[in-house]
Amino acid sequence: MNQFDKKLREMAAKEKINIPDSVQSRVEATLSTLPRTEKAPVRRSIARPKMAMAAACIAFLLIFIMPNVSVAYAQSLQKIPLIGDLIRVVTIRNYFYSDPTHEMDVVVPNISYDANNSAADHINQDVDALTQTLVDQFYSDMEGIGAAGHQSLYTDYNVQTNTARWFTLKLAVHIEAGSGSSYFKYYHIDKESGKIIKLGDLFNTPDFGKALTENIKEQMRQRSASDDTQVYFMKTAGFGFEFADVAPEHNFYFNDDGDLVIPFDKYEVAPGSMGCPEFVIQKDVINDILKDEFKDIFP
Amino acid sequence: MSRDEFCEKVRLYQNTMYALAFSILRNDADAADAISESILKAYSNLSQLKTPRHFRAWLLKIVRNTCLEMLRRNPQAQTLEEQPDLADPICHEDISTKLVLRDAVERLRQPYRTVVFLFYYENLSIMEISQITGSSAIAVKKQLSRARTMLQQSLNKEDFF
Repeated sequence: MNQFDKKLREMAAKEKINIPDSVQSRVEATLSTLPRTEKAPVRRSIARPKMAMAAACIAFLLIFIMPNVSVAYAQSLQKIPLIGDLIRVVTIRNYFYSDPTHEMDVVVPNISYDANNSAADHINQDVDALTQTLVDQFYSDMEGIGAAGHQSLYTDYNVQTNTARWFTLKLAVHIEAGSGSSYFKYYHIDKESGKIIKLGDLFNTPDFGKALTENIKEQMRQRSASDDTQVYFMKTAGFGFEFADVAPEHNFYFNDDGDLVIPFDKYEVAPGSMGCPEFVIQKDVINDILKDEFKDIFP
Repeated sequence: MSRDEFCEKVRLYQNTMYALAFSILRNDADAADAISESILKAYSNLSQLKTPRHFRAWLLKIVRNTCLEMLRRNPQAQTLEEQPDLADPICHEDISTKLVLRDAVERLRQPYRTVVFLFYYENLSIMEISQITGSSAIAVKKQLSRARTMLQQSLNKEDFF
């Protein structure tokens, strides 16, 4: 955080905003009108404490005693999601820079997973390398352009999915230098196998890209036909080119309904005004080419 | 959450509710109306709050939406809002210290004014502001960055630094 930001915080702390008396009396008047909805009295069952005690004893036995007396049980416990496969993501670094013409706010997430599994390590190394490259490039560009031009770099992340079976981390990067561009990177771990999964790994045929591309192009045509403002790079739309097949390492994620979503970066398949388009591929479109182990990951 | 717990939490966050409402509506009378309406809405929809620890962000989102509804109902206020020259900083007679920063913040246009109030005055995180305003975390960071640049120019002009 730079000097100016610190100064703003200090000034804001001195100028703390307090609610004026007139507004506070309105708050109190409003609160006094709220109806009192008493909760229904809770009927306590005499048997409940005993049941809770019994459940606690069984949980203690299963989680702490059994793994220490039985190797087979300990191994089987590791296969149970939520106990053996807990994944946590924390921010381990934050690069911040700000002056009147250059601004950077880069957060670096770190995944902690099963110590015996290397998937999280690979993702952490990849995220580290990517963010370091971005930060280095930012400083290099800053030296090059000085105060002659504006540039900004922001990154952010969120855990897109974290179920018993599947984990997805989404990394977002936004760069502005003259014009703005955004791109995303998705990382997936199949908790059952403990492996990093890329788009191509989901399918039983190398031709999956053609099936996805056909479906996406059809969706583009439908969207353009129903809404004039929807423009995609299609030969039929007057562009001399259109995007090639979806690659085995292309970004993807599963939405709340368990459908496959193929996101594109800004400018990848459409003019910048379209932002970052996404296409949902319905389950029945890909069911025949999905590998069996990925057919029911979101029941 | 019981009625008493709800009232206690509203009192806890009333300064932030006021800062947010004022940043959008820019006068105490409208801010009081918006806060009052928001309290009633929040209480009647309390069952929709799934995670009690998100109460503050949930309540502030209701306040923001209520303020925006009020602006939509009153197009004249919106027109004034879009003309920074007409939107003179408000004079706060009840505060004796010189409010250098606050005057500069009140000259900012939206959405910069609201994010600055929430970030610097109320110490909300980027993620919380993103939940309240419905913008992505990256968008909030960009808004803060632009607001910082504008504040720096404005405060430098007044030879504060």
